[in-house]
Amino acid sequence: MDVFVDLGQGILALLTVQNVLLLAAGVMIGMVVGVIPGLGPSAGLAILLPLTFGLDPTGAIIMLAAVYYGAMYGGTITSVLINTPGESATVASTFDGYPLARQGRAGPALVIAAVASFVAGTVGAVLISIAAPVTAAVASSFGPPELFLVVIAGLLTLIVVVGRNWLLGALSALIGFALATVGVDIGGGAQRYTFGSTELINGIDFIPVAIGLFGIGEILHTLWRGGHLERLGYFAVGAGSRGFWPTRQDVRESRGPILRGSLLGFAVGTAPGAGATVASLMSYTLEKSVSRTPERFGKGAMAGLAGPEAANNAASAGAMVPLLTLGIPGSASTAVLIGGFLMWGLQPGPLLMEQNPEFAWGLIASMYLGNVMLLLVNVFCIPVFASIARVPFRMLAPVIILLCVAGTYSVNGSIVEVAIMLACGVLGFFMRRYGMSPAAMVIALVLGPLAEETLRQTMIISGGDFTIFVHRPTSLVLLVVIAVLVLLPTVLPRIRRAVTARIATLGGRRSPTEHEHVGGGTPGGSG
Amino acid sequence: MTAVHPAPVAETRRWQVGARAVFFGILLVVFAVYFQIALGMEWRTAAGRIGPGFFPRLIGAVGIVLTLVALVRSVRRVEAETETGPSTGTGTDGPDLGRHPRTMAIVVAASAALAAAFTVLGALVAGALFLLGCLWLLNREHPVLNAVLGVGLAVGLYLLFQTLLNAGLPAGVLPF
Repeated sequence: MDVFVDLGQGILALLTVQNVLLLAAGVMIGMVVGVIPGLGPSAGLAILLPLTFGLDPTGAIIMLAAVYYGAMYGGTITSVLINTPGESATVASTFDGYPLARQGRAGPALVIAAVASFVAGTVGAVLISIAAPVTAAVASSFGPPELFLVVIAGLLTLIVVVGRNWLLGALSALIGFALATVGVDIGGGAQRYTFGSTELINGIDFIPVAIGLFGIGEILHTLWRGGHLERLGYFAVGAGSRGFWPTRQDVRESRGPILRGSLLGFAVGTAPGAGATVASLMSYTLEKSVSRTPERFGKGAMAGLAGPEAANNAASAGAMVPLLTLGIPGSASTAVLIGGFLMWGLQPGPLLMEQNPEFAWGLIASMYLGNVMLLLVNVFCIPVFASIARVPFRMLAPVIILLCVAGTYSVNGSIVEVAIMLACGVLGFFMRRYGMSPAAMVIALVLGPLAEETLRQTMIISGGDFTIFVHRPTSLVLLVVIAVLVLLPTVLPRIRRAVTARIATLGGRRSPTEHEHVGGGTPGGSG
Repeated sequence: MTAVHPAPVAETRRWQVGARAVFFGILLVVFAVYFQIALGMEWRTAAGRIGPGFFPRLIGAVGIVLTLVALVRSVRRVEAETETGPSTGTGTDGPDLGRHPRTMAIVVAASAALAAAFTVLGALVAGALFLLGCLWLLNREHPVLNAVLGVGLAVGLYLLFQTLLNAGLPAGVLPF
């Protein structure tokens, strides 16, 4: 029960006026960013990271955790009201959320989504409290060979399971690895790819790259596809109206999906590389398959909204387990968080919970408190945030670009980093345009130095002998996992074809006119 | 703000394959240069340890191979996505409103100009000019609102970073 005592102490330690205010501010700012179509939690975190520099590490991480959850829920608001998810993790929320709004039930949909997020976040915080120390204990026995293989396995999961195209995913990761080699070589001190620039000696900072790829890249893509000309079909939602609150039947229908989504989402989220997108789509498929009325899915079934909402939030919590215990970000958002940790001199990994318990438990506690704050803010402020979705993109785009430029400059006062940020923005646009994965690139950029360092240490231990990987039992298991992941691209299409055919057969029997949302393939990117 | 609307299928396919191939061609050149530079670094140190060139050579070599495959694929076959629109990777796009490369390019150029003028003119002046220019481009129907927003938001963001966050943005031509 020590873990719950630690969690309780973490929560109590955070309950100061300043921290509560930071939580509230983080949730609200996150929701503002989240309701901007095209921007999701990863972009929100990247853009807002510089705003936390004036704070102490605990305050900063509290605010970022709150921004994370706020942005996640902000994406749900646009999914339900304007059928435009902020990012792929909330795509599943449009399937039934938007039909509910069209039926005049936007209020109940958003309240149920908020409750689902809250329950999932709570379940997630409790499960992290149990899973993180256990995983950290296992991970503390890992040596450099195992850590190197975990990094590779994490990236492969992201590329193979989440991405649409493994070739382009791998290429994206290689660009990230290549950028990570810029600067002084940690082994021998030689300069690599600095071209004589003093600005590049310390390497390419992660923040400008993340802000460029996720912030500017998304803005450019939205401009390219005509987002500035969009006239959004918008469904009003008012807290004063009678139909704002869910009915008893809504609550009854949502209970099971929320619980199942929370557990499924957490389990999926803990796998490095798999993330909220996969979790939410899996939850939607699960709910549809266990439902007694699957024909209502896609037409406004509360279970079809509650399950995926719970799953994507629980997956966000689950992603914290590999982040805190192995130092492996499971998604783009956690990659941005890890960038923040490193900036404050904290090295996530097996020793974090041992050496900085107050920080690790503080983070877990702040995630829980972020959920509480999210529920409070949501229930009372849904109409206010929903109205932000009405602000046209053509007016928001220039402001966000200026915010990105000022934010990047404020980190190190470097105009070179602003130029890198803009270049990464253009690169991010083309990556998105041609189906590459900015998330894989950012995660590879974060993990590149770790991969290089652990491989170097491995070679020192083994005297340059690569067979060390098969001589150690744990690394042998990890090698098998990697082999399975490598083989997946050839096996997965066959499984998908078989499953699609099976679903089509079942769907044909149940309802010939029913829409099939999930069969279209898993969107790339990650939460 | 000219929109490039979806053209007849055959023409669209030819244009998209071309642009895609050019992108992967540029990426190939970048990886080739990266690999070439990596060849000038040590693979192993004199002590037999991994040298600074070990990782870059691996990354460069694999990058060249994968980019070549992507390039050949983009030249040889038309992806199914050209018929339904380009892949975005997230499935979060809204309705089809045509393609607007010119608008996007102007905003990129304006952003580059903002970066160039940021330290010279200062964050406030450069930011206000950038906002005014972009809002004039994207939101022409409301010039008065644009002017108010352009100046007001630039001042607001400057105060947020400078006063509230103590971030030290460049003053430029202004005395404060």
